[in-house]
Amino acid sequence: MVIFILFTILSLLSTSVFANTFYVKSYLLPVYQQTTAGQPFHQFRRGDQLQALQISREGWVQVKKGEVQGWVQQNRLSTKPVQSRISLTKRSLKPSVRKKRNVRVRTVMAVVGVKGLRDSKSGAFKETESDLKAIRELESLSPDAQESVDFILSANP
Amino acid sequence: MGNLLALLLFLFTSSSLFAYEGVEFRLRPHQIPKDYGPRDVQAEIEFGRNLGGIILKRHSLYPDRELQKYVNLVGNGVAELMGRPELQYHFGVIDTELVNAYATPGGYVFVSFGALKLMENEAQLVGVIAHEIAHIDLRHEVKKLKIRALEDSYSTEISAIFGSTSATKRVLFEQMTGKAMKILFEEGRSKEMEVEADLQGIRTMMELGYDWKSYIDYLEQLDHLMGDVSAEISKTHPTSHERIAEIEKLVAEEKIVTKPGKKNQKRFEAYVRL
Repeated sequence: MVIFILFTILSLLSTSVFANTFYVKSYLLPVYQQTTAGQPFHQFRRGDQLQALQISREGWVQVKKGEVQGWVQQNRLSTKPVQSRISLTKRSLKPSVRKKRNVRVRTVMAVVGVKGLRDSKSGAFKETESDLKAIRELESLSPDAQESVDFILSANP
Repeated sequence: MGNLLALLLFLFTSSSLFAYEGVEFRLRPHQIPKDYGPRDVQAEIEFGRNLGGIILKRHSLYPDRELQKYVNLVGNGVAELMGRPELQYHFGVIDTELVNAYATPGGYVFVSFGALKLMENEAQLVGVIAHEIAHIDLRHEVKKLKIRALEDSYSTEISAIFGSTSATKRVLFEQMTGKAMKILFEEGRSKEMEVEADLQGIRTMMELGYDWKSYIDYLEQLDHLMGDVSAEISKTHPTSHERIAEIEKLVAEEKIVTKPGKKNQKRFEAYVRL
């Protein structure tokens, strides 16, 4: 009786700790009938929550979501909910260091300490300012996600 | 009775722990790496963005908007399918004859015009971009430079540097940026990191249906250039010979089907006007 109760408790615990839920990391996730790929019959989308049925040694996971059941690539899945996209493109680039700040003895000592740790070959502090305008220009080039996915999946010999 | 219970408990827990092969479930609590939270990612992007700006100060963007758009479409296509979902990736062609590509933490990837000139098709471009995305996805610089958003030990972490008003922290930030620049432009990453990125890149190419052998061709081209002392090629990567050997080992181990993939040569040539 004791064993039965213990076994039941452990069974309940194990299902909650080793939950078989996966989340889709990639923008699109093709779903296949078999692990040998071929033509996908369905696509999941980023953030979709899937129930794992089994995992193959070759990096495939058999998953189920609603009525859809099939095989997907394991490396495009996460065991944790997918983080939302973080963008800093509208923020300032430089660390916000106050100008005309009084330099205290403690700060000077800390700077000296840091300099002491530096590679002897690296010499004086280098100019490390960023080209803010250029990086913003680069960021403005980013295309729409769907457009770029369609582009990369198309064959154009 | 006690022994029997202990035995049952052991058998039960061990079987559930190994139920999912190859997944991090098998790790013991002390082996599980601490998660990177949104603030860590924010610190990573801010650091990488700043580093990207420094690269662009050294080499400006190549003045061909159509070419930049093409590389962004290819790069973002790869990143949307295979990259980290929390990052917005950015791609740029930099105006230098030096043959190389760079990735900074947070999703900034740069391919030199010299590297594009060496390429023959889109599969090679996808291979190079997938390799650089792998460095970002595997957090090679983030781990090496310990870029985390921890407030309690700023002497080794850059966390509190961002948004800080301390001159000391700014010095530390500059020092870390200097280290990162040294890795990118002088020392290069370790051979293990390069091989790891190659292998992930090859897997990405195969999953997207590209001809992964084209990437091998590109590495062989690099090897020829490395032998030429007059060639403008960055010496930050291990020899292609070693990298190709590792890729071929992966192909053999994973029994990868070597069916021909797409090269998209015509599209590549239409955009990369030399």
